[in-house]
Amino acid sequence: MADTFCVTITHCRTDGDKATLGFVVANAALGSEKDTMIFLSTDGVYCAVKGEAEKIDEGAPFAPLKELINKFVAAGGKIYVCTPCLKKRGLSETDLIEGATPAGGAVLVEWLSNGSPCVAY
Amino acid sequence: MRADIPSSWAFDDEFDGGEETCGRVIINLHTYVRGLAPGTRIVLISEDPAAPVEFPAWCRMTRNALLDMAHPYYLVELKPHLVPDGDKETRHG
Repeated sequence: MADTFCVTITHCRTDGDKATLGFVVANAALGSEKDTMIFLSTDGVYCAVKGEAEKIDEGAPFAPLKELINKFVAAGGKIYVCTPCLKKRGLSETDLIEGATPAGGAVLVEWLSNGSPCVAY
Repeated sequence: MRADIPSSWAFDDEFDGGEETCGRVIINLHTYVRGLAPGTRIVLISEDPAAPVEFPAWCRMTRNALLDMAHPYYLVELKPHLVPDGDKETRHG
């Protein structure tokens, strides 16, 4: 069984439901002692942009997105954010929350090539 | 105005990825180094904010040796495992 896990999230503003679910599953993976990476791309980069996650709360039974993200970072989860996706939206690394790292394809490819399963939202 | 390449680095070539990001840097870099001999020391230059995690990942996957890094500069030795023993030179710096 792999001891790593990846959740790739491509929504935030466009679909708060999917962004929320992605972080719920990532927290489940972390809580199951999997070394977990979240890869945010396309609209998903907004999950890691200061002030954006606060806008998303899907309501019961889901916790607000910001709370899910804080839990994930506090538990040692890694958040990588697609740099060209940021650039396209006029954003840069200075817009990112604490715990989020600008990254690109090489980081994702290496993680998955080392045997990590991946689920996409 | 960016800092200069660290003066202690000894290298044979440079690759400037400019402000490109992600896969574009990687494919351009791959194309550039493909014809270079194992053991070549190359300085990669990239303003991509992801470079500090991307180049180490690329080096691990391609078995190129990342000798040192000082963003936006990365000192890489190409395919050291393919250099015949007799051709290895000891370089300091």
